[in-house]
Amino acid sequence: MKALHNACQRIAPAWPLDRLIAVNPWWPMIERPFEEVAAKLAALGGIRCLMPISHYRAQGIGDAVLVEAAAEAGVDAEQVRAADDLPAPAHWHSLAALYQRSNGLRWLDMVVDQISRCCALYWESDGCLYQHWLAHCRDEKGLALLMDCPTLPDLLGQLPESPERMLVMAREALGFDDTMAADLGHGWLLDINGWASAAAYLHWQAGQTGVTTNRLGELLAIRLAWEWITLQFAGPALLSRWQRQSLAMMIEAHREHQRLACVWQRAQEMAYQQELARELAVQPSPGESPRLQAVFCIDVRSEPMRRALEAQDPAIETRGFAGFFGLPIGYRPAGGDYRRPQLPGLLAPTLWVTEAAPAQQNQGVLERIGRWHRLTQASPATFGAVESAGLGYVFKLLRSSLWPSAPAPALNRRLRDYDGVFVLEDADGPLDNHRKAALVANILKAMELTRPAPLVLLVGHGSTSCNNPHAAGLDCGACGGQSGELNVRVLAQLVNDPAVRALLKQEQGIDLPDDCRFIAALHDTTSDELHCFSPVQETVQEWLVAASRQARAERAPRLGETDGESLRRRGFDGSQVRPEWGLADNACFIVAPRDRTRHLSFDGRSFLHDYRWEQDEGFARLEAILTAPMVVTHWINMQYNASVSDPEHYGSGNKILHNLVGAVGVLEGQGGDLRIGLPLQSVHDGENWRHRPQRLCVVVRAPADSLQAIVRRQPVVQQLVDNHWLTLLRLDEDGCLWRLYQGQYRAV
Amino acid sequence: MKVVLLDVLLTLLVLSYPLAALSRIRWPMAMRVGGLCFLLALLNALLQWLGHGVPSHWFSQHPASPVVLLVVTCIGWLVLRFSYRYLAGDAREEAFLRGLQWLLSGVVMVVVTNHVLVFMAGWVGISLALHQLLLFYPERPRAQLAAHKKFIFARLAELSLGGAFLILYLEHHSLWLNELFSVSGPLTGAEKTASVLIALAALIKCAQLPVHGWLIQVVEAPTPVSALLHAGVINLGGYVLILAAPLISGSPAAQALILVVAGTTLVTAALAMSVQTSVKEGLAWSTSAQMGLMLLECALGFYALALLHLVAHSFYKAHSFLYAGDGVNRVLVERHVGARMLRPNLPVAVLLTAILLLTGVAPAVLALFAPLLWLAGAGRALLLTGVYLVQKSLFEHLLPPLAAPGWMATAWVLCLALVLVAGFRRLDDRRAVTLRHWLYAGLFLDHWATRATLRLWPAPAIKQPTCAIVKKESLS
Repeated sequence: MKALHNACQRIAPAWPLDRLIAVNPWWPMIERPFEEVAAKLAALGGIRCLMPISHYRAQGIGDAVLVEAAAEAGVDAEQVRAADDLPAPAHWHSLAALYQRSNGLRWLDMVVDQISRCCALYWESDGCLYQHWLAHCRDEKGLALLMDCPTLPDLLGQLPESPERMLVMAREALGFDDTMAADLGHGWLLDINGWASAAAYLHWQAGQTGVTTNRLGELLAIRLAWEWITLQFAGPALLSRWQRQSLAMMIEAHREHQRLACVWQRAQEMAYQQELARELAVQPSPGESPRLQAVFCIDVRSEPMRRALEAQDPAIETRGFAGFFGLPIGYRPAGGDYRRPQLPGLLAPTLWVTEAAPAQQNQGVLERIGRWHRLTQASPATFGAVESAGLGYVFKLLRSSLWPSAPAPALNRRLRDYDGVFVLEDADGPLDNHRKAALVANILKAMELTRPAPLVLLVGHGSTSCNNPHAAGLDCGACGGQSGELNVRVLAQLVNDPAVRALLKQEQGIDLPDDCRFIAALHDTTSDELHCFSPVQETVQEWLVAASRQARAERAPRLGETDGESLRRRGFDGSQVRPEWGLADNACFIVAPRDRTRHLSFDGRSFLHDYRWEQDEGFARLEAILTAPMVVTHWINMQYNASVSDPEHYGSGNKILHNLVGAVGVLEGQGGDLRIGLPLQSVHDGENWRHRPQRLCVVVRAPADSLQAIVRRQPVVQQLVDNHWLTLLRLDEDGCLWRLYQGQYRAV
Repeated sequence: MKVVLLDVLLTLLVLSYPLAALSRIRWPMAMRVGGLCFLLALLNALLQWLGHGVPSHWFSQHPASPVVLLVVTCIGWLVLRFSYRYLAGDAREEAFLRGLQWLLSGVVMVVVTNHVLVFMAGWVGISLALHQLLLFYPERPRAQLAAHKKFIFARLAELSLGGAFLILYLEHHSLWLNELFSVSGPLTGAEKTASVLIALAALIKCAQLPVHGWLIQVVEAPTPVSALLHAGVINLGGYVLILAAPLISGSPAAQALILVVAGTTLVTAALAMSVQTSVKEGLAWSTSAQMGLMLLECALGFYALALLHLVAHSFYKAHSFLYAGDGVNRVLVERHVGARMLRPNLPVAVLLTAILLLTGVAPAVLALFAPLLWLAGAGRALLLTGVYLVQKSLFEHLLPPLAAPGWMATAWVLCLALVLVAGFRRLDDRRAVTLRHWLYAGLFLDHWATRATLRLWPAPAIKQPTCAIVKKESLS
């Protein structure tokens, strides 16, 4: 049974909608090369990790690059040039997928539908999901009627009470051995990939908090229970046909089928990297001493705004840093039970932030909203509620349609309205000034801001959209799918605190001048506005407004608008399914001082992180960047790639059919599996894909041997680099790019 | 003079949507047409209420007609505005626009006309347009199943209604609805049959148990279709009953049929609604329950309240469907404020109920209104009672009550209310697992209905989904 449980570990987690972040759906499989994983997934479940050849041809890749990519892969260039889209070979099917009864819906669809309904009902409950499912099925008198199998209740009665025994029973009946178990288990879980990914999230959380859960094992037991039931209906003929499928042969066939597409994918990335090399080869002139420093998140959407801001005055310098600004915090709004992390999904919060003196009327507003909704959902009260208050909804409808205003989810509005002090606590109680000073010192050193300019803007980012279940996916992924507002406000409060500054000088050796101010600001990525949480000078305010206007003008054509001003209110419209393009078309991650990239325009395709190796003792910061921000950007990149190459498995489907299940996820339509990943409207504009799937290209400006040493030391980084999940390039002092692969440098 | 003006207004209204659909106008123009229709409906209502105008006998002179017309044109206009951006980029968004326009033409025709043939044409047109909209993504197997079931039940309802009209025509020899539905003295046997057939048509149209399944499965269609269906189309069953009020009030058989079917639907659907897991399915069950209440109020003779419920429910459901995506924020607020948010207040509820009884509200109505007063807490209950009384008196001014219900009907409604409250309390108990399972599956009635329809009228082979990606020539 260990082998079957290994299958459970191959499913990557999918975060729930209220804290949605992008994840590489193939993260547990990075220890194998990308091509191997692509072939295996195609053989197991018909999953596409690569685009069709026609897509690559439309990218306009030069012939020289194609020849080079073919040579690298050891494939004949003529074959690559003549490649065409052939139908994919057969893939593995589960017994339920092979079986078909006469009436309408496919048998597998009905099975997945039933599992999905049960999961939705019991997802938030404790107890064993398998036992809940068993009780649910046995109570469902209509299931036999719906699936047209009168013997179903007897078969359900024969199922064992514990998931472990079910796995054993299924194994004996289906006759597979341990060598195949892990792959077959993975294939079975791929039939309910959405709920399996949500279960993997629960396992991930359990790993961070130390709780134990076996949700994936129980889900696999449920899936195998249906396989066993299908076997009773299907009979031995179908069973032998199922057993005759050879996974190894299918994997080989798919590998052969994808050989040329892999070369085209690599050629597309090479073309991009060569273009990047040409742009980075130009040596920039050094900047002057800045009067204003603005620290942005590394998000690709910050790049156009940073360019626009820098264009306002040469004395403005912008930097990139992970959007949670180094604060390992979670938010716990006062007066209630809700809490959420405000840091990357890889980490768990160690400190909790709450408001020191929350306004009482805001709490009342929240209670009223909650109570009214609960009233309309309560069976006896709903009739009177609708009859008496229903007419009032006409005003809400008219206002939302004709005069839409900025959407303000209740908890975030409360945070925005609060203008007092925040309290940081950990398990022992509120933080004292010494610990605060230590925390701030670490952050300032990591941001290389130990000698800052007179004015430093800490710019977090968030998005504005209305009536959007995937709104958190557009917010800052580094802040756990939330807006960066809380992090920048807390950091600004900490750094501006005179007591903390005094301790910074005495204990940590960082002397901040008295006139140096840190201002918290928020970049609204939908309307491209920069909002400061404290007053700033007129000139600075003018710079921010002018930068916003320029950034909007640049972005407007991409959304089909002629004028940037209409973008300011785009997020207010509840019917707008494309409020912004988010991180679509992301392609590279540059870890270098801003001076090296200041003169370039990346068109919103690049993550930018500031890093000066000369100030990094022992390259500890570089190691931290490569093990945390690089993984986050890799996840974002792979999520977008997967949602484009296989929208059926890793995309949420059509937004206009979405049906929310609590805050866990969405269904497309009435039933079926939970949908994970990005919706179609987030990556497709109706005509073309807005994201070109390309594996991340990471450019690092650092000494050659230090980079090699870090890659050797960190197994995750080594797997990502050597298994072709991303391309690691080194930028040397002459502006040349070198690719690090298998411990060796080659010219790009 | 006023007659001519009203006739012109209403003719323009009836012709706007069909002309817009036929001339294939684009979205911005279509939205303006929708706004024009709403304006015309507003003028019509003002002329009829403030100017005391009455249209010619070609158009409905029933006082409920301008109200329902206002609701339908308002929601139609707002759904058109919403769909403009919502469907942007879809390959067939023009087809969607035309489907919406044909659907709205049918609805406006049904609400405005006084001629029975135009009424039936509109009724059938609605059903056909809805069929096209349900199959907007024809490759979805559940949508095909839902459309097939809806097709059969819609034909049944039309047969029933058509049969009723035929009988009434043979009785009155007139093609005008107001004359067909008029009653002089006790009902003849034929008229009683007609009233039962009308009640049957209304029950099928309003998705009462056991023919409620297609409503739950309609969530396979895009959200604006659901919004328009739940808010504008489904309540036409109640509208027909309001028009046929003289017939229904004189026929104990029709009343009994509605009381039993709508009553049980009310209880079952309301309890099922509270255990659903997905937002749209919960809203669909809620519609079934609310329609049950509306039909119940018709059977009890409270046509003004039924009209009030029709209007209130339309706006509530339209808003809930169109803005269903905000559900995540609602869940977060609930998590923050805590699970036990309702603060039941029995003394205040009893007090307010007593006051309402004294002011003349019928016990049957109170039976289903009082639980709100119990669960809402003191302040809110007071506010809601006040608002309710104001709205009730406004609508009763429009549609004066006909006859009070008998003691058996009142007892039945009281019984329903008790079962509803008991079911609610029982579901709160964590051990009520089996009841929760049964309600989650809607007491399996839909499963039975699906199998029955598929056995009697086999569905065409359900096409399996392919990987369709939206492709479009131009981005408008």
